[in-house]
Amino acid sequence: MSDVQLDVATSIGDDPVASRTLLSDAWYDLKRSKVFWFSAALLVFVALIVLFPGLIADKAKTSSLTGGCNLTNALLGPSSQFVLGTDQQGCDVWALSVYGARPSVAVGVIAAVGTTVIGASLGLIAGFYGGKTDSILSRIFDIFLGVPYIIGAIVLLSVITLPGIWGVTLAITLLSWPVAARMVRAKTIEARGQDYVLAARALGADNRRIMLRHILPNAIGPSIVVAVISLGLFIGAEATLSYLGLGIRPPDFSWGTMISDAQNTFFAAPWTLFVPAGLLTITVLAFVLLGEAVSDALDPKLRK
Amino acid sequence: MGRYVIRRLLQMIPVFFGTTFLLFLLLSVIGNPLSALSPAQRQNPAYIAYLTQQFNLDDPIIVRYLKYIGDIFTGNFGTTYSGQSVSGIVLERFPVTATLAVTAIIFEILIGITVGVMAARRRGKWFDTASLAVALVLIAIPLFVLAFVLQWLFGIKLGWVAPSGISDGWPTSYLLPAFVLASGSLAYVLRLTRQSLLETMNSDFMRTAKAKGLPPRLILRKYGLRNSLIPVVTFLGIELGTLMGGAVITEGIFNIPGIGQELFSSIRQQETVVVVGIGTILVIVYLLSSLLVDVLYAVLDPRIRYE
Repeated sequence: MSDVQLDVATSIGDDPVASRTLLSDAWYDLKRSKVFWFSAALLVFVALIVLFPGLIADKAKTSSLTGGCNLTNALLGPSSQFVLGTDQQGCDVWALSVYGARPSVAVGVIAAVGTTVIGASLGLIAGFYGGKTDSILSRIFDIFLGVPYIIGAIVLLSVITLPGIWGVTLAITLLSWPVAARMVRAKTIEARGQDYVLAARALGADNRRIMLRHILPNAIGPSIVVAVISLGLFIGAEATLSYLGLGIRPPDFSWGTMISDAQNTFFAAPWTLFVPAGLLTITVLAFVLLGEAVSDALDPKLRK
Repeated sequence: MGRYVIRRLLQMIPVFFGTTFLLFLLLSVIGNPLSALSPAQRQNPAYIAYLTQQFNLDDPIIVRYLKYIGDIFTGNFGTTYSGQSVSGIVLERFPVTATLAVTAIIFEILIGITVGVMAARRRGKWFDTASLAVALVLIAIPLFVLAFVLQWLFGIKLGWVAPSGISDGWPTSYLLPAFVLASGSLAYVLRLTRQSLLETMNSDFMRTAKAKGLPPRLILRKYGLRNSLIPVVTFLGIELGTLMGGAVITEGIFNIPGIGQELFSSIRQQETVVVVGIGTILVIVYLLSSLLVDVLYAVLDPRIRYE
């Protein structure tokens, strides 16, 4: 980092010492990235509809139980009563899409956290201990990676029947964690022989402390970036599995189930497909872009 | 090199058994042939005895699995509950999926690499930005949504190709589904090509070539592409296996009678034998293609040496 940048960082109030760490370097880059602010703006919008759907939509219009859907209103185009039209059941597409955001995003978030936690722990153990432990764990990673994704998911979801979003989330997590595991393992092996690890050992730190305090923070970076990107892709995976009839089941609904239902009404009423699919694509895009921006910021080679 | 390949093949053995056993185990939970019988068949003890014997249902799961794998190694993939040979089904449907997957890879090479190179050469210009944006949207949009939209646009609205089925043969009938199948990876190939070429362009030998006064086209072709396509080629190597697995959805929407469609209906009808058979083949394709990729690395880049 050049002196000029340091001065700028100090003058806008950053702690000059902290501004030399990897994270504050990354933040310095992120603040200047258009992609980052674009994705952040999209994510604020997504977070808003996930956390407070009631602010912009009426829950009553999503279910016939509450009298919000009426078959006489089926497949109406956009109007003042139904901003983005109605679906086959006469439910308001906008209200459904807003309330369907939460389960979709929840699947992505939980699966992303799950894969990172499982993957990072096993990858750390495999990379740190090496030898037989590594050979066995690495073969287990390979076995799970070898299962063809969609077949694996279909088969798993035929076996496990959990309510709501939990079945899909579990299936996605079980099939995706080895990616993070391999990545953390490789980074751990790289960090294991570094001077700071040797120094910590010389100071008497035990394995546990070395792994958690010294290696993990240095090994987890790339897999966090991947987790953010995968979070978006998991939301798409939920939609795909719901489309195959294996994801979230009625009366619960998500963007996936809405898109799946829309395949029959798409020709007569395109909005039944485009509204949930559009929101889904925007959300996935936001996470992918955020992951890219963070990854660029963390990569010192790309720094100008 | 020979030793490396042998070591990799040895490492594959536990992975092959582990993955196929995992599939077998999961499927045995859902696919007990006795539970799928009609009431009339259930009254027939001879038929039940036949099925029990046919599928080794009296044995513990591990023994059943070993007998099954033993059969596979002699080329016998078993028979469905209705007596059809699984090898027959696979042989009939495999070429269709292979055609689809290869067409998809052609799209990835033609569009992905070409646009990637063009974007890299125009770094920061509008073409670069636009192609990266389109690539991101292709990654973000779920495959089946893209399938619906393109099917509707080209198949129904414009009527350029038949919206489904393969009655028009190759290539007409395969264009749309292959593009949909390729879309996500195509975007990835594009970005990979662009990034890799940009990195190569910064290297010393490119500057030397330029300083020697070689024509720019020659530099790009002989020095730039040759050195930057290695990650792209290796990515395409694993693609074949991935595409075959991903064909489930595309084949379903475009009504293409390949193994993906067979697989999905077999899972629905709990035809365990077919699912495990196709699953095993896909696992083998995946393992072999990842080995091929590692070997390709060494062939394409002589600097890489395996001990």
